[in-house]
Amino acid sequence: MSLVRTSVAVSVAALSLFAATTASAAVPTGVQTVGHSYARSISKDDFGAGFQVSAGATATDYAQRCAWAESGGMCSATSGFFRQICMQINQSVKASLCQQRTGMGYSAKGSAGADATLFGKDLDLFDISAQASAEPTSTSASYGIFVLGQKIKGESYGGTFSKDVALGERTLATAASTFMLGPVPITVQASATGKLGIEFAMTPGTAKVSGTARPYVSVDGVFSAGLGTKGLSAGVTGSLLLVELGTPATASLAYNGNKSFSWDASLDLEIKSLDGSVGLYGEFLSWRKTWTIFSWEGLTYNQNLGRKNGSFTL
Amino acid sequence: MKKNLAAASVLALVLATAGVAGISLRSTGSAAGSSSPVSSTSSVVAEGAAPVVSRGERDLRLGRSFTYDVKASRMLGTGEVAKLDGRLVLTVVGAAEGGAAVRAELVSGANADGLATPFFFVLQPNGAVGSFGFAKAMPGEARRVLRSVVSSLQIVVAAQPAWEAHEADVAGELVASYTRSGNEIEKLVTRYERIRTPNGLVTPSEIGGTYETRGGSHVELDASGWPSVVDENVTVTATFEAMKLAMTGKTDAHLVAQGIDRTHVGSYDAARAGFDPDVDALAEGAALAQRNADANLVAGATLPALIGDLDGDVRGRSRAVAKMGALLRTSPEAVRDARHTLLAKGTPERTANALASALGKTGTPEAQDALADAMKSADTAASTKNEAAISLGLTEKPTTEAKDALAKGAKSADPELAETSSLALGNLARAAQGTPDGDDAVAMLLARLEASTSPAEKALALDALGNSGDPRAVDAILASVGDASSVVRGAAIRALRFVKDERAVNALVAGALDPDASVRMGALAAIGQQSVGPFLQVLGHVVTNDADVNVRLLAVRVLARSVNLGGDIESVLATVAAKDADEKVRDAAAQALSKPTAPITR
Repeated sequence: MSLVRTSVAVSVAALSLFAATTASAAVPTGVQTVGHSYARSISKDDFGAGFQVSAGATATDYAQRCAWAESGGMCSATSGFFRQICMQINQSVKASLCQQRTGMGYSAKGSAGADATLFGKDLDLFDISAQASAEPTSTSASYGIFVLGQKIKGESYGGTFSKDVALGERTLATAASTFMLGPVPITVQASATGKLGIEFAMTPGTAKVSGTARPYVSVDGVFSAGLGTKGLSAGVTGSLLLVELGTPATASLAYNGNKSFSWDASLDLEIKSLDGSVGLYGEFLSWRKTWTIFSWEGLTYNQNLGRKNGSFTL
Repeated sequence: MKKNLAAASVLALVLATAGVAGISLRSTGSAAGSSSPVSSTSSVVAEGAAPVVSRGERDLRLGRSFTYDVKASRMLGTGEVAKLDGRLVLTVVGAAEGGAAVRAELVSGANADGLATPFFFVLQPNGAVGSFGFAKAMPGEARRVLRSVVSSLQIVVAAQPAWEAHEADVAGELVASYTRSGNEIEKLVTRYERIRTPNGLVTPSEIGGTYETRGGSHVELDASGWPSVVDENVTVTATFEAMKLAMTGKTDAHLVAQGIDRTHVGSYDAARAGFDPDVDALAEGAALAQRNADANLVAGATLPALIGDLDGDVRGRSRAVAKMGALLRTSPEAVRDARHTLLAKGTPERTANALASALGKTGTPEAQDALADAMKSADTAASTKNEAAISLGLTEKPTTEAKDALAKGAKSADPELAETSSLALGNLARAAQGTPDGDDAVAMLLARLEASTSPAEKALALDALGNSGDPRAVDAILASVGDASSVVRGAAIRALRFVKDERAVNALVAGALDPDASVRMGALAAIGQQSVGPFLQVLGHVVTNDADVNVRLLAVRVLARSVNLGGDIESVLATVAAKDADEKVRDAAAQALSKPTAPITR
């Protein structure tokens, strides 16, 4: 059954509606999400990179969730236009949620993602995640790697799984511009090149789900330029670290019975960004001159955000 | 000579028949697109008519000839990219749309191929330089240098003591401000509004950079209205991401002779059929610039040397792979060597993997053949087969062999290769959309979705179809957005990320409100790949109401990319930065608001 059977007209003109909404976040009944997350964006000299990492776990009590859906609870935070569409979704979702009226579902997940800006284009550089899920009748583990919104790697398993998915160094994105500067056509190009991978151990069990995910990423911006003229050669040399990230993220969720859970999550940030130098050089016959045009010392975040834990009852 | 004189007489007759003896063209008052006022009234004046020269007008009588001694240099940083020291003769040879046709010839000092070849340009009555005409055989580099020098002599005059003019030069369209005192004019290049590219004129922000200009020209006008002295010194600094390139143009020109030369009258009309429509031969120049950019990146390194660099640290390896890609794009021999190494038994896995990814960025049929063969070879390591599959999926112009290799890989007994190949088949279908290979790939993936029995299989097929962005997959994807399994529902929603379809918009809006947070995350990730306009309302709702911190963080991330749309996005992010219950969300919103304004590119 499709969730969407209505035509929704959304326009920029309706923007003002959401300025009036409040920042309060209603907690849906029957689901609890816990964990650690961290997000940061960095920009310097019109150049930017942003990243976010998280380790978290979610517990679901299906019976409670079904009752919540039947009461229309999922739409309690909505009004007007959104309430209208939400109530239609609620009708569809209610049926699937209530198919499994009893039992608990829980999952643990670790993820990392980064954006970069190249020649004014915001690029969804990568998203990496791994998760373990235990549903009342099945368990599963999976991971996925997206580059520029395209999924290039992913697998699903029926149960406990651990693996080191290490992709080789690869040019993830390229951008180039050719334009006239004075009488000379110039091409400037940049690539985001680096290594992506995730090492994970996912254990979905009936009493406990746990996951350790260490996404590791090192992406460099590699720049070059060329002139559409003969004789003189000039270009750009050097590279710039866009993001280097190796962040062990662990999350576990244990079911203690009686709808009671205890959880544990930790994030150990190892992030470095915008480090390196870029120089311009020119050469003609035996003459060569190089001069640095940008030099960045790099912004490093090595921070153990520590461990968070607690317990809750659904 | 007789023929030329006859042509001039015919022209004079035509002008006279136009009803305004001696006056053929009326000034628009400025260069193309200019709003500056100019009092000029005439351009080409028939032979024998009295010169019409006053403030703001040039003597454009047929046969009028002006000879300049010109010294010009163009420096990129401290490197000289062009130099000219010679004598340039400019002669009015006829009428042209918008002004007078001027024949130009560098009669001495031609230090490069093609510089001595005569060419033409249209000069408007107010001094604005219009279109150029170069013979097709003339080298592009010579055309661009000569156009640059002629542009340096461009003085767009007006009757006021100070004015602004919109002009065109070899680099693009610019705004110049002028002040005049007697016969002396100071010209300041204020800004470039559009830049010339192989795809036409675009704004600097469309290229992804900024242009700053500094300097201008000191000009003294002759009684003829033509410049007698031009002393130009202009620096244009283009900044792109980590790159900053400064071009300084210097031109000294002195009028050393003027007179009448009717030898070439009519030559513009005779030559114009042979003009190259690609006036600056920019296609050729751009291709050379691209090759040079790759060559500069490679910096003379050989494939064995770059393979040796793979033993370095991770950053060294990344740079080696980037250089490998550039080398393989410019050298067919290197592609053959890379293929040989990739397929050789005993090649270290790391080397083979790096070659597989570099060949993917090369994209030539030979490179794709090498990758397809690596997928089939029993000697290739499993990880290299996966790298080859990913690379084939991401190649820009996939071949039938690439599609066939991925189709076979998708049926592999190795589950990892089967999944990677399936996803790659979807990526290939996107690059090959509208081709028989693209159609085949989508058909295979639709059949796979149809045959899937478990949520995991269904999710994989949806992921692959999502990569394709193919409109024929939309119905099948939409049929799964209401699936009972949140895994399938999430995959279906995210599979709409590249679909430009109203139904996809509706489904994504609904997905952003799904009770399952992972589905909402998928919807937001998909919205992040779309033009966000239709989703601003739901993004605003989610960022301020969603119960899940990670969902709100992702919504901030998506909104941050559009922060320069201004208006309510900024006010919503400001509200979130001030009031969200979670510190991380507040911080992310605050950072989004402090992000430098970037152009919307999607």
